[in-house]
Amino acid sequence: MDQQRWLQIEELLQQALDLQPHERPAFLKQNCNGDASLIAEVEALLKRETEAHSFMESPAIASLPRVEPPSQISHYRIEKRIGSGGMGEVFKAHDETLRRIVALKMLPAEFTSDTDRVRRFEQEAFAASRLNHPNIITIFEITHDGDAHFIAEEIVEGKTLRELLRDPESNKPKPLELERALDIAIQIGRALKAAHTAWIIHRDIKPENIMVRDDGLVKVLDFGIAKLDGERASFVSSRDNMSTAAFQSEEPSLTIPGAIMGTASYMSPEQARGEPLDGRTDLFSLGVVMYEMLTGVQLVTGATRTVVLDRLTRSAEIVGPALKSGNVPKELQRILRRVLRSDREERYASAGEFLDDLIAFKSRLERRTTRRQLGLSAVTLVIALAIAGVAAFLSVQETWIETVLRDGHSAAVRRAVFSPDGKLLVSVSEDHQVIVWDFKRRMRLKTLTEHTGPVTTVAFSPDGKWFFTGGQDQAAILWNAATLTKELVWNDQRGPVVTASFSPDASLLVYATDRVAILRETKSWRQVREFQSGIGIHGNFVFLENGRLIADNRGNVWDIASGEEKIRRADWGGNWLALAPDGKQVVVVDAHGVVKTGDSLYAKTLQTQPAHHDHGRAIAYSPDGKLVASGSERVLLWDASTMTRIAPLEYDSAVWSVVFSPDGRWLVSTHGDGSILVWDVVNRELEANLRQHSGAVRAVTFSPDGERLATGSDDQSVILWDAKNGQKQGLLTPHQTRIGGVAFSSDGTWFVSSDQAGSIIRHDSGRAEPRWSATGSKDAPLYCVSISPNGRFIASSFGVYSADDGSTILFDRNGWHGIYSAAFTPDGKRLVGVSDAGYVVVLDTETWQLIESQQWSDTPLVAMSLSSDGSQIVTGGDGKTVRIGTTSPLRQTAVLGLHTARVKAVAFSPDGKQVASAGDDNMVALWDVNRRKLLTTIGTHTSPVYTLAFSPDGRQLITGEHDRSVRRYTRQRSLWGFSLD
Amino acid sequence: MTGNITELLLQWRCGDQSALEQLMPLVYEELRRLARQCMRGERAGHTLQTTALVNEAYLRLVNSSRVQWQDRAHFFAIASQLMRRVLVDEARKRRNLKRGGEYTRVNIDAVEVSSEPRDFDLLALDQALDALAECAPRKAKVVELRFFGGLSIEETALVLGISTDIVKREWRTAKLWLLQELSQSTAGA
Repeated sequence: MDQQRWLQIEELLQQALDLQPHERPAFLKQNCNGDASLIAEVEALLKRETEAHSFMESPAIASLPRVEPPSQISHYRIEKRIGSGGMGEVFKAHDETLRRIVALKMLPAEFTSDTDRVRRFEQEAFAASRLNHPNIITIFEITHDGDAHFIAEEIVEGKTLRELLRDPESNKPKPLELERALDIAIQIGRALKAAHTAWIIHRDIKPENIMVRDDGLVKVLDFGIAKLDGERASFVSSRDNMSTAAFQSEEPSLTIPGAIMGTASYMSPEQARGEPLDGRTDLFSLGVVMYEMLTGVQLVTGATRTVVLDRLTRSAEIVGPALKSGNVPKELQRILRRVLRSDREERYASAGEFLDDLIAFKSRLERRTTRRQLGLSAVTLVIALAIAGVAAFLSVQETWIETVLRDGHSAAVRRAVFSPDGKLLVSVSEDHQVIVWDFKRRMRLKTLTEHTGPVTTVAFSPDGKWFFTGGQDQAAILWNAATLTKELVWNDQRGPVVTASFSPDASLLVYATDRVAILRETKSWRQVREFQSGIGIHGNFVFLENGRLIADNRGNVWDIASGEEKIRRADWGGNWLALAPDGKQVVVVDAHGVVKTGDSLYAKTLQTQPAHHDHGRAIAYSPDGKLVASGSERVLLWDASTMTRIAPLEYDSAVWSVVFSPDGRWLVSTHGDGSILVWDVVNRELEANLRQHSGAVRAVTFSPDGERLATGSDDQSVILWDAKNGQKQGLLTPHQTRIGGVAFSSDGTWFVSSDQAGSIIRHDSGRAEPRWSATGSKDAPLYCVSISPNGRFIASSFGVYSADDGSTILFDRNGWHGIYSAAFTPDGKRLVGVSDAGYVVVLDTETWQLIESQQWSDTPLVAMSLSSDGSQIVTGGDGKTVRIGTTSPLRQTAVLGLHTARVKAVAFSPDGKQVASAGDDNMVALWDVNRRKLLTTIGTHTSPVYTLAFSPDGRQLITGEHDRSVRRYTRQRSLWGFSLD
Repeated sequence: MTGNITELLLQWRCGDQSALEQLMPLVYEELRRLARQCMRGERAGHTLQTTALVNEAYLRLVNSSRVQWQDRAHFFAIASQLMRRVLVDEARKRRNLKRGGEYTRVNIDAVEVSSEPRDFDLLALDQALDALAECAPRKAKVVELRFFGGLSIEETALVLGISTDIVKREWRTAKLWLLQELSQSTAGA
């Protein structure tokens, strides 16, 4: 159609459209000059007018078909689509076999056609599924239904970190608060550490793959699955690309820009170059994520692989300007810089080391914050939660300050040594402290605070008279082992002291900086010799040939008498060196975690074994020479004669040193988080953690004056704590199995503990040994104990016993059976308990007859608490419900609240106005009793909370947790920023 | 990402044609992603408004503090054009699927297509629009912005720099013309 004609038609059409339909024929006739075809064309168009009303009025996209999900796959009933994840589409589904809600991730068709790829994917996913860690999403099943391959995994309610990093209103990127960012980074670090230990690399750490639950728990998604993408993973976001997977194979030119959204941006340089990867790639990516959390700025933008490479090759570290200009503390900047090094050799060697630094920083930060705010010095966390309660109109704010009760060191414990008789253990730490422990009692004897910097080495003289400590404060201190006092200080060695050891006959002491070694004889402490040493910042010396020669970890051997270098064993080259008790062999662990054995002097290396996937940091022979322990990301035990691995000893913080007790029964390992662990060498189990419980904490109780706390744990011990400073006052280990309950008498002079083998033990203050130990029930666990107000009776799960001698007063009668929790009323007239059958049972304490028994729940009730006047009862149990009622008459009055998992503990506040509850949902909730509403949740918990207790004054709440911690929450009330306490 | 797109948009306005070439695939990809989400029902609660999609793409891709309204108009023009491509490509793919083409999906038996596309054929419309563009490029542009980009009359007027009255007139005749063209091509087929 020519343009002229077109314009003509258009003109006529527009005018005709402005007219009423009946006017149009006349109009056209009049204006077309008899051009019949013109009239026909315009009329044909006009005829479409009605049709045109709705034509194209809804946008084109509405014409796209909607793809509906299948309704059933295998034994999963699909409920709805919830997104497209790293693997493909994700559905919320109901597992009809196990009756739980899961997330089903479908593998896209383009992958399932490649059987090799499917196999690799399944292997990876299977490996990831074995990662059992709270910060890693739990994989339930990896399977397929016909051609549909899928993963069923834990469903997480929360937000992705990407969402948290965006302001919901302006939709612009925003940083997180420092504490929040640290908390998230630490949790990601924990996940990485667990995964790396299992040899699984994530490869695609980025905000889209991090879920943060509303309660603060972080879940890392898609572990090991990034590999599925093969080469593409390196430049295509797995999370984003899958949703468009079907398109990408067809238009390769468009995939690269399409891959841009947050993909290459988090890649490590080695990943961008397509090199083989190890765990350090994840550390780098985590660094990039942290940078973004702290500054709100994406570190590498515009991110194609080329851009990343360009950016990374320009400098050794890629930290951007936002870090300096922001409010990121210097110390944290340093940590971040180290993790963001281009060369992975310059980064932290492992997630464990990184984590230790980060946690140490966090606790220092919290200490500083707390000091400033409260003048306290404990490891605290301020959880500011306004309580819109009683005095909301006055704006009274209630804050719960968290303190984790831990004795001992607060930073990495670099070394620990035994006294030759095995009675003392001396530990040195980056917290500047030297602690002398009574090893048998597992208690701290003395804390020595002479050092002004991190203390890195300690040695005990073989004659038991002295021990020596040295550190980064450049001080070398000699201590008298009998008096535990300082004997001598040297600071003439110009540099931090790296290592020290005594000769086997105790006549010589050698200590060294990274360059110079100093030898002193131990009679006059005169310097005998000084020689150049190249041990570096890690390393140690051993004396060979009965103290005639001295060798270092780098393979240099000197003659002590002449000071001449005798031999150079370049093949030893390692971080740490240990000499077999017979003096014939040495074992070395090197920077790559390789363990080597060799003849101590001239012969060749005997064996080389890759052992650890982190920097080797510790090596030791057992006293009988039969075992070797090496330490890095974990401890490995070896058969010394064959150098075959016997067992790994797992713990969640980096190993800094290992040492056997002189009797060979125990192995002590020291860790980056400040823990000192005692392992039973024979059965290879964790025996104790010197700073806290080494098992889940099941019971906690305050002494009546609120000064002391008793806690009982799965580690079979009861710890008495000073409730004020959080130090251990005593450790009691008369039980042979897990502790069930602990209770103080009303006068505070004695307490009892019960265990899961049915024993009850009474401990009186001032007595080292138990007053009595009784069998409360044969083999049935005793989950609770309660002492009558007059101090005459002790109630437990199956009976009531005399406090004098533990003799049985009542056993498995009158409804008193399977009691999970019990309490006497304050007047002592009644005993109330809750049972595994869901009953609340009330006994008369005169006659021990049943007064009343009511079923409150068809599932077990495991927790109860009475108000201080005894009139009210609160219960909790497997039904997830917190119920409240009256005791006389016994009547349930209300459901106070609901948890999302089993309730394990409930407690009335002393004023009776509030109830705290806790359980398997990792939550501690505080409820207003009268208004029956949730006031607040307290703390962030990453594992189930098993027990709770209010202090007598109601200002403190103590929790015992699955993660082995005892936590103290102190209530602070403030009005307009001023403390009311 | 945001910075990158914004930069390209600014460069393009200053006359750098290569910037446009870089810009197009980025926007295309984003729109395609959003369109797929739509199809998968992941945008429950949202009405199927293309305008929401294009706006969302704009918010995600462009740093609005650095650009002026003209740039926004340019962006919408490009986005509408690209949306047309996305949707037409998608329709083409679907047609291939019906003809037993290469495109397969997970568990195809279990996947049901809930509602067939409405009666008219996007591919035919695309061709008709090309024909329209030859005689009346501005009409074709209006259709692209309104129908594919989902822009309102006012937004379309702003993007094209013309009055809303003109947009309305162009729109009503374009629809008639396209309907006529479509019926003829169907009759001829």
